[in-house]
Amino acid sequence: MSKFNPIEKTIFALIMSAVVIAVLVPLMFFLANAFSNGTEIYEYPKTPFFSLTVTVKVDYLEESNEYQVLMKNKSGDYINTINSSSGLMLSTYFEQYFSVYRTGEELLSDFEITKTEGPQEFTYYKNMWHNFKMFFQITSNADNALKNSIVVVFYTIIISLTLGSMSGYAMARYRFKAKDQISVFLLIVRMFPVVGISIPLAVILIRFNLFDTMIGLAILYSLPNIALTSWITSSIFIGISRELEEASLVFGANSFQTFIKITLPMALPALAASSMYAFLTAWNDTISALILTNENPTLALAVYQAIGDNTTNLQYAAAGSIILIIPALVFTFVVRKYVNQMWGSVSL
Amino acid sequence: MENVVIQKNMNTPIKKMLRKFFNKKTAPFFLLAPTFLYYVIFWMSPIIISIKEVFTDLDGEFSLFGNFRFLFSQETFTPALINTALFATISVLLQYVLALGLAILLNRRFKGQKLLMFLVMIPMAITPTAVAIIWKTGLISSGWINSILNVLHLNNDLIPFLGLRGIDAVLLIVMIDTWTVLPSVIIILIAGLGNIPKETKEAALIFGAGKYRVLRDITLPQLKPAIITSVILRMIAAVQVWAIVVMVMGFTNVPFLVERITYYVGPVSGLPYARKLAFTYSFITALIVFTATMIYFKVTKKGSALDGGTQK
Amino acid sequence: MSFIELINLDKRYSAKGNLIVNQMNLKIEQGEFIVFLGPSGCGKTTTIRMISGLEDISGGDITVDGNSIVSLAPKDRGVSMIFQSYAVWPHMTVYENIAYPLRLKHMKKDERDVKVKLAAEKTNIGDYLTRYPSQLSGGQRQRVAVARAMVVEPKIFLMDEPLSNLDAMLRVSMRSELKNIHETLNATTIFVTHDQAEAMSLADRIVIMKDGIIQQIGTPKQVYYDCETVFVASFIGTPPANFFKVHLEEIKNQLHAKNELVDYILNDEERVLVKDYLNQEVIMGIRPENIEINTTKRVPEGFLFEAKADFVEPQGSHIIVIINQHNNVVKVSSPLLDLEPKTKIFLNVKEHRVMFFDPITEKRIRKV
Repeated sequence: MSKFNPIEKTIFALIMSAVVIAVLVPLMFFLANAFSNGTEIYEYPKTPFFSLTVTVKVDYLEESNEYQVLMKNKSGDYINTINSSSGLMLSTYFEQYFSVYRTGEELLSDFEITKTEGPQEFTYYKNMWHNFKMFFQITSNADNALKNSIVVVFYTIIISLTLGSMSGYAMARYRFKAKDQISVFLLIVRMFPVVGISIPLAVILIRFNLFDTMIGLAILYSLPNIALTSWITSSIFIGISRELEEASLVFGANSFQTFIKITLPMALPALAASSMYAFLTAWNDTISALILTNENPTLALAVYQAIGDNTTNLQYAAAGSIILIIPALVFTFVVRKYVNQMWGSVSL
Repeated sequence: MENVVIQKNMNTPIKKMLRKFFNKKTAPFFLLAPTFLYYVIFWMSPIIISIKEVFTDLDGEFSLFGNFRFLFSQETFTPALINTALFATISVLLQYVLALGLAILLNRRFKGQKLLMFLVMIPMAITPTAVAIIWKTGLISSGWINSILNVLHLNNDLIPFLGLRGIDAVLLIVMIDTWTVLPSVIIILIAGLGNIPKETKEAALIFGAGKYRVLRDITLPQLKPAIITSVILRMIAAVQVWAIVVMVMGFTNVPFLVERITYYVGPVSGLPYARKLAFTYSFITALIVFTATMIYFKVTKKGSALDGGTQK
Repeated sequence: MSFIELINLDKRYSAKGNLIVNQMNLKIEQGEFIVFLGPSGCGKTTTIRMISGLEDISGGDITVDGNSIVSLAPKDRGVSMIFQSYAVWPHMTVYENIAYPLRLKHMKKDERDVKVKLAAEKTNIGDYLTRYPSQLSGGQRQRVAVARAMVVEPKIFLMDEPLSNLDAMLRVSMRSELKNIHETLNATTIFVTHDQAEAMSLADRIVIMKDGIIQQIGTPKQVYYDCETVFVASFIGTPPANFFKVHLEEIKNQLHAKNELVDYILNDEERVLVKDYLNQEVIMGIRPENIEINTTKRVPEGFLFEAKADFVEPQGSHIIVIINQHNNVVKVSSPLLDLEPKTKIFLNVKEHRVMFFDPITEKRIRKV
């Protein structure tokens, strides 16, 4: 039925390649930046590949008894970097600007040979973790921020899933008066812009002594997620035939046992989907964290603060972003795949 | 010896009392009560506080328009409003045109479809702050965008992207936002396309329609509901853009509604009127979004699956 | 030369996949009402889709009026189709649904209007022209599909299980309407169904298919009384035919067909028929209404076996007696309305109406 002539096929291939390039190119450059050292970050033009090594040419200057270190850049030219005889200065420079970890003594003994053989090239491996280390250093509290993010995600998931699935179950299984109004209410809450709530919520959190805590943040994040979980779980509970539960009751289980052994396991995909959304909300948000915390930022907030709006030392912020990105990527793809397997496509 | 059958007494007084409370009629209320309580405390009261704040001036006196007048008189207000409106409109238009084309292309089965879908979805899964950094590394004068242009010999100067202002800046943000958001729009449209019964297209083919006619007369009209609802949802999200703006352009250079909010609770939160401005901005933004949400409800009358009344 | 010919038609979905349709050969005359009948998965829908052009063929040819149509797009084949799901377009009104095929043919508005209204009248949906499909019942939507297929006055009408989604009463009334339309339009119709009663009542000829292979092509009478294979005999008729796997032995100059249940003596005609199977096994197929019940005595001519009537199911004008013995379930249709269950009965074959089938090929044994 769908026959495509060669022209259409080539156009199709072209468009697909364009899409792939458009997605991958920024990502590759970004990765290159994240692993660049202090000098590569200022090079121009940039390349999308990051190098694992740094090559320097060292020359011994007799007059000043110093080693002149020239870095070899991507076009093969040598750039003046530092002249020094001090092992400490050299080692510090290498670490800071080359991401190369080598003690002063080691460097001096490496360069010894230039005194007799003339200028020599040396290639060193970069320490790939340097930028990550620096990120944690220059961002105050970055390791706490990471911990905080994990904690707040945990709280958000627990609150959202508990309250949400209870409500979802009530909406799915029972008939009662205010049902329509409640479902409209839940929809409204789900879509309400969080900005409208964050600032006044700070006031309330202060009153409860929850300002600047992860529970306080989790409370905010859970607001739309409880409603979302309620919606997701209610549609799956409706799908779980009432007769399955009734059979369990007839065979001697009470309501609670039925819920735990029959209903809950079948609702697992819904819970997985809901926790995915709860996770993403809590992990990715920056503005509410900005408003509701002071000394205890989440990781997203910390990365934001590390950069603010300046443009220096982007490579550290880039490295920090990688820490931000990876869990989000994993969650989005792994959980989504699991949900799709068990449940078919979730169209939310 | 008699065989006595010992039966568990199911009707002890305690159980009777419990059943009075936890039965079919009351169960839903018990299940919903915690959620309800939660929302009263943490959702309604902030809203009430917010409304109070917006309608009282710095001395605590009631003032219907005072804060608004003050807000409108800020020189960054009008640009913020315009930029946000421009951004929302342009980005949604652009994204839908692109997404529609790509969704239709991607909807057939071809080699590597799964891999391609995976790739296309990556930008969507990245934290917005991280997205901002990805693009920042490209937009700085020595960044990779200029590098690419240079290497392709398209431009030898260094374009100062970060210095763009006005509509150019808005367009730049549109571009970054599109990169991030396009996958999710594509996915929504592909889901919508999948819901169109194959036989409606086949019937058209039988009766004389060519491939493109089928697209125009049969596929797209049936896709309309999915398009409309997702457009409204996208606009709601677009109105709230801020992180990319701040991290790429800095504060105040290219004002947006939520960017202003962040400004007043962030760097200048010490100023006496900063709080009021933040509240007023929040109020207005929330109002705009809320209106759009109501429109969304009107358009999708059959919105939620929460009416369990159709159980078999 | 016939109007439509399927020649050695094959279909497989992947290069090494199974043949969904296997060497189908069929000649259809103009004006015929042909029914493709068979269980799910037998290839009948695939075949009709190949004729329509919605599926490609893997081998063979399809010709109309002598010209091959396999390279033509569906719209160029002069066919009209009614789908099982009706496939009415939800975003168009009933009027627009029916008018769409005519618009595609660039017909002028006035002419279109006349034809649409005529088709709507013929299918009794003239009052619903301004409604949308979502406002109609299933039966009404089906009529829209019929009107739409009719309005182009096609030469070839394809119907893919159009009545399967209707309730029983509606199905029966729509059957006659469809036949009516076929006759009015003087079209050639190919109708797909899995319901043998439907096929029997509608068809000029029935094509019975199983696993992609044609089992028999014949008129309703032929496929009922003169079955070509065991499958046909078991598929057509309610209740289906009874089958007995028997061994042919010569005892005292008479040819007996025996198994643990039956001991049937063949007459002269039958002896000639199965002469190649002496001392071997054959399958006997006997229709329920061709078995006679005698409650008093054992009649030797055509005697089959004696048993107890295990179950008796009243059907109104007759009863169905079910005998379950020696792992054989035998169903008999009888006018003895007062027969009690557990009664001892003698069963005979009426007028030697037995069909014999080869035990391995399951094909009917015929006179050479």
